Amino acid sequence: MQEDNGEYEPVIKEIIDLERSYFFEKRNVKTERQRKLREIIERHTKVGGEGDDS
Amino acid sequence: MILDEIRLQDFRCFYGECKITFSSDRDRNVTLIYAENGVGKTTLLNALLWCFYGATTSRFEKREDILNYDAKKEGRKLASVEVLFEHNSKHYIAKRFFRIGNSDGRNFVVARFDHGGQVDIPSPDTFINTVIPREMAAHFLFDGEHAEVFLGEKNRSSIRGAVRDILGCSLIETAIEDLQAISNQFRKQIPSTPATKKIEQLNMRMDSLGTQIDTAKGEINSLEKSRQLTEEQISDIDSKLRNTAATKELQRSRERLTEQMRRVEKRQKESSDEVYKWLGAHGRFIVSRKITADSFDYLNDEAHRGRIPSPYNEEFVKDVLEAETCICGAHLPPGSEAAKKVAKLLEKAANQIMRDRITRVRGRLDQLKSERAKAPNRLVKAKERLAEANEEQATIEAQLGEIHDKLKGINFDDIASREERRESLRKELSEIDRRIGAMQTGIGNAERERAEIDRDINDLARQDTQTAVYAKRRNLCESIKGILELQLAEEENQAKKVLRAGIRRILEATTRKVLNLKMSDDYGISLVNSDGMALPKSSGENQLLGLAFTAALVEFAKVRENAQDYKLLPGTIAPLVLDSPFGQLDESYRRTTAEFIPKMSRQVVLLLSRSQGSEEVLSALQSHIGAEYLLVRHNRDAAGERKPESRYFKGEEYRTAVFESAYDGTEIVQVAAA
Repeated sequence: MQEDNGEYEPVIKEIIDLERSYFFEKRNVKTERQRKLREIIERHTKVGGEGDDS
Repeated sequence: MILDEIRLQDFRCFYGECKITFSSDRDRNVTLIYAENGVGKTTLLNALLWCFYGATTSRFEKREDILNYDAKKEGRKLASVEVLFEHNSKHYIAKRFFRIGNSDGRNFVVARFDHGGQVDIPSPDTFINTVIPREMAAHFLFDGEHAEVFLGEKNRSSIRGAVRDILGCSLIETAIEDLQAISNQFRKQIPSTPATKKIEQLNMRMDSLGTQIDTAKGEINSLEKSRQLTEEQISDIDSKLRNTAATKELQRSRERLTEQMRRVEKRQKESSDEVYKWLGAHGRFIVSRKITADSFDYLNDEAHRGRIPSPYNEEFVKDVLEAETCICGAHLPPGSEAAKKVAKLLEKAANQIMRDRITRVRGRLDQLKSERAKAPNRLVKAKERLAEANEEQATIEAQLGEIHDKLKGINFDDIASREERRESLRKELSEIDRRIGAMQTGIGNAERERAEIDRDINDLARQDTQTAVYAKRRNLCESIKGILELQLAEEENQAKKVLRAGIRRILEATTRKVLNLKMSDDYGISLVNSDGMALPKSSGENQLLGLAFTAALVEFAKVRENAQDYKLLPGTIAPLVLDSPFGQLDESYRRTTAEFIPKMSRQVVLLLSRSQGSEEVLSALQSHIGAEYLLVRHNRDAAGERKPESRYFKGEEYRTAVFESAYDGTEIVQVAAA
C-alpha cells in the first residue's frame, strides 16, 4: 500500500499535520481547519504543481 | 502517567480542602477508596476528568454546579482540583479552577516541578492530551457502567469507538471527514457554463439526495438516542426484576426450608417419643442396676452358695423319716431325739416350687443384666437422633429468619406492572429498530445514487477546461480519503486481533468455566459456552467480559505507547480508575476479578461501596493495597432515627456518617496503616 500511494504521502503528511495542530486545542474551529485543508488541496492541484495529474 | 495526589477545594460535595495520596508502589499498586452510594465516588472520578479536560461524564448530574453549596453560602467563590502526577520520570501538577464572577483568568495550568520550583507548560491542553489523549481517558477513568457498555449486541458502535480511541485514529477520522466536506465544496463550486448545464442539474439532485441522507441520519441519531433511553429503562426494570427473580428464589428456598422443617419436627417428635418410650420400657433396667447387682451378689455369694434356696430337699427329708433310717445307717425311731432333729430340717428344706422360683429369679436377674448392658447404647442413639433434629431445626429457623428479613419490604404487586411495562418497552424498541432499518436502507439507496451522480459530474467536469480543475481537486480528495479509509480498516483489523487474543487470555485466567469469545468483524462481542450457546447478557460472565475488554484495551494502549506512525496518536500508560467494577458478579467471580484487577494496570484506583468490597474481595486484594481512604458523609441535620454508621478497618472504628456537622458534604479520611 505504501509503495502504491507513495505519490500521495507528502500531501497526506501535510493534512495529518494540519489535523494534529487543530486536534488538541482548537477543537471547535472546523471552518478554519477545512479552509486550510482546501488550500493544501488547491496547492497540490495547481497546473504543473505536485498533484497535477493532468 | 502515574497519579501522585489529588487535591480538592470546595469541589462539588467536597467541602474545604481534601486530598488523596495515591499509591505509586509497583507491587502495592492499588489505592482503595471506600464510599457508600451518594457520598462522592463518582464525583472523585469526575474531579480527575474535570481537572484534565474540563469535562465530566455524561451521567454526572448538575454538571455546571462545581462550587460546593456550603462554601458558596459562606461567600467563597473559588473551587479547584489539582492533580499531581508523574510522566516520563518527571513530576507535574495540573490545576483547574472554577471562579464565580470571573471567567477571564486562566482556569487551567500545568506545571513541571523543577529544582523545587514550578515551570509552567506553555500549552497545557495539548500537553495533557499527549499524556492521555482525551478519547482514551474514558477507558481508563470509568464508572461502573462502563464495562456494561461493551456487552450488548447493539453496542457495536461503542466497541468500535473504543477500539478506534485506543488505536488513536482521531486524526485520520477527522481528515476523512474534512476531505469529504472539501470535496463537496469543490463540487458546488464548479462554474455553470452552457457545457455544464447537465452538471448543474446533477448537482441539484445530488444536494437533494444529500439533504435526504442528512435528514435520515439525523432521524437515526435521535432514534438511537431514544433506543438507548428505552434500553436503559429496560435495563433498570431488568435489574429490579432480577431482584424479583432473587425474591422468587428466596420464596422457593423458604418453601423448601418449611418442608424440611416439617420433616425435622416429625423426626424430633419421633426421637423424643423414642426416648420416653425407651425410658418407659427399659428405664427399670437402669434403675434396677443396683438391686440386680446386689441380688446377684447375694445369690452368688460364697457363703450362700448351695444354701439358697436350701441344702435340704423336702422330699428327701420326708423319705428319711419314713424309712426311719438315716443315710449314715443309724436308726431313727419316730419320736426319738434324732428323728426330731431330722424333722426340724423340714423347716428350712426347699421343695420344687421354691426351687423353680429361685431359678426364675436368677433368669429374670440375668435378663435385667443383659438388657441393662444394651440399654445405654440404645438411649444414647435415640438422644443423638433428637439432638441432630434439634440442631437442624435451629439452623432451618435461622435460615428462615434470614429469608424473612430479605423478603420484608418487597412489593410483590409492583412486579406484575414492571413486567408489563418491560413488555411494552420491548415493543417500542423493536419498532425503533424497524424504523432505523428502513432509514438505513433509504440511506444506502440514496448514497449509491449519489455516488453514480458524483462520477457523472466528475466525468462531465473533466471534459470542460473551465471545470477540469475542480474535478482534479475532487479526485485528489477522494484518492486520499480512500487511502486513509483503507489504512484505518487495516489498523482496526490488527487491533481486533490483538484485542481478541488479549480478552481470551484474560478470560482463561479468570473464569471457572470454559468460555469462548466471539468477536465478529463488525464488533459483535459475545460469550459462548462449550456447546456454542451464547450466554445471557445479564450474566456475571458477561460483566467479566466487559472488564476483560477494558483490561485488553488498557494493555493495547500500553503496547501502542511508542507507536511510530505519524497518522496515529500514540498509546499511553495510564492509571486505571474503577468505580464499583463488580456489578452483578457473584462472590466467587468477584474474588477472581479482585485477584485480577491489580494486574490490569501499573496503577489502579478502586472505588468500592460496602456491598462491593466484601471480605472475599478485600482479602484477594490485600497484598496489593498501597493506600486506603474512606469517604465520610457529613450532615448538618441531627441523626434522628438513623442508627450510627461506622466501619472497622484494622481493628479501628471509622464513622461513615457524621450528624450535626458544621457542613453538608464529604470528608476524605485516610485509613491508617496496620
